[in-house]
Amino acid sequence: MRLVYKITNDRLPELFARIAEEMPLYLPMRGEINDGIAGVNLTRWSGDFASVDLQILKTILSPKGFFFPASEELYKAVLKDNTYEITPQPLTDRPFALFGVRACDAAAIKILDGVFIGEATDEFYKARRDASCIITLACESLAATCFCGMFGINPAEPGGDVSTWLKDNYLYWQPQTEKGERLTKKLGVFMETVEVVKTDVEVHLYSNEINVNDPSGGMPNPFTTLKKVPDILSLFISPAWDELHRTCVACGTCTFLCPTCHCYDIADCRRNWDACLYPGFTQMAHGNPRPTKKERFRQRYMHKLAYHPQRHGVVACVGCGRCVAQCPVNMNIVKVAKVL
Amino acid sequence: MPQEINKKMRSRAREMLASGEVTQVLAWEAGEFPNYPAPAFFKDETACGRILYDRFCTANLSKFMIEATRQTGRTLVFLRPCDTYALAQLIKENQINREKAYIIGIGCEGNVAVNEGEERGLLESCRVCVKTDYPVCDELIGTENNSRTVVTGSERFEGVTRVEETDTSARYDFWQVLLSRCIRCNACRNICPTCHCKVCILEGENPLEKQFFHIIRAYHQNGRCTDCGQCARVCPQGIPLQLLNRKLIKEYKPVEVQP
Repeated sequence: MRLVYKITNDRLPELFARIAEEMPLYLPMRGEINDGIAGVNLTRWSGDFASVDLQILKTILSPKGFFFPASEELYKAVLKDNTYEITPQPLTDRPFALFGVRACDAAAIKILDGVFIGEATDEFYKARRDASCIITLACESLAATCFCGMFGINPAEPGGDVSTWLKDNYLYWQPQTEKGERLTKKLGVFMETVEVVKTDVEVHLYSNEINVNDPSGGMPNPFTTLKKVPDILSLFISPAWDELHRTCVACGTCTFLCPTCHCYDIADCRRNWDACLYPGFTQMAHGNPRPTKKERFRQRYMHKLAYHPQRHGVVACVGCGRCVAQCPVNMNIVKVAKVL
Repeated sequence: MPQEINKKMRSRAREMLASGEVTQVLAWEAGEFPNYPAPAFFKDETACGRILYDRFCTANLSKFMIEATRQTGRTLVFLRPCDTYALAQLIKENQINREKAYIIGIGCEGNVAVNEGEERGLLESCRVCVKTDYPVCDELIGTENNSRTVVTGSERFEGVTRVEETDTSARYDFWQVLLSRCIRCNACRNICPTCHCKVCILEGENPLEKQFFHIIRAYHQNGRCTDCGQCARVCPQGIPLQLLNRKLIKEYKPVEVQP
């Protein structure tokens, strides 16, 4: 059993400052405001505690960008004496910490790990993952667009390297992994001033309080039902795609905000996020094997609901609801799963 | 009010599908999550009971009409004033076959922004809305209260004026900070009714060139943008994109070309 530490909420600025002394710390902070909706994103700790938002359940952008940036240079190519000299970019070894990652996003990082650190390892991704310390924060309530419960994720037990939860004016802190233990030790003297709770019973006090949203409208969980579909081909040729794709505008917002979407394109030494919804994604010299929006739309949902479960055993969705909250036309994965 | 309009929309959709005047209806239906209604096509009169119209129906349906009017048969679409401006522009640009569209203008009291299912006041575009009429439509439903959110011209350009009043370097910083937040998700481009190029000139461009993207896009909309505000509404990062378009609307003066 790992120790649980607790610290009063008014000492949180000290805690953040102390972590930031060890390594860059990113936590949910409010950005500027447009139309009355403040964008909260994981932003580097600047000492401005007033901008820190520990109530927000989903940051606009998921944490995936910390491991798999929207655009990164993979190597440099310099022309020298008629030959190219190729130098790979050095791998990150600078540790950093993310605070306030929610259960859904922590689960999503595990899904990404399965893709990038699997049969073939993506060195750039792995280096950043190794350098990161994920400090999660348990959810006290759920937002209207949350549906993590459909994937068996418990928002009250967020996992990560360190789990934290807010309760009765305290932040509770429990290391979950060796990495989490190391960070806790590094905080050293500071953590010693913090009260240590001898049992972790209080962690579980939370889990009973949250009623998980169920957008299935009384139907059986569509994601579980889909898993039972005997063959992928029957989903692929389903006539439902003909209608479903029509109201999608194929912008790709869902793919960029999705914590598990991980498709990219490499152009001129750089790797950039790409999206299966874009016509350029599968463009080849001979043409495009996914010629219309229908095929591209189908690819996105088939990947999440069928191909990924087939290869990795899990649906590539964690129910964070970012696609629900941000889709320009309110298309979403629950709708697609229900129709199929 | 929207409930009354909604009722009439359902019955008109049923009638027109039953009589065969139209083969499909483009409207909104309830989504999987409360207050997230989604655009939908209805082909069957029995499904018309699902047609929904409330202040959360924020998506402009005009752009879907490009695809809809390329199919066989006629499409009934429900449009608010700003949506009809967009549709009129698309007709002007030969993107929509007018014969294949039956347009019912519906009353609008302004749409609301939504955050996690909760109402967060009028959308910025609705707060400064100047449109109450329907430049292209075949029929009207419940348009008596349309004038309620309409403001005067100067109020509409307030945001633009505020930026104009700052000096060049402050203005540069303003846009630099805002546009650096762009993730090139293309929501603004793809929801924009007048962004209908088959292949965008900026498709697959270096995603780091965000300023470039937005400036090119704004210029391409010059004289065509109907100020429906969809770009700003859909931006996940909350970039006030309407300012760019509105600045061009403010400066734009059509030139008479002599043949």
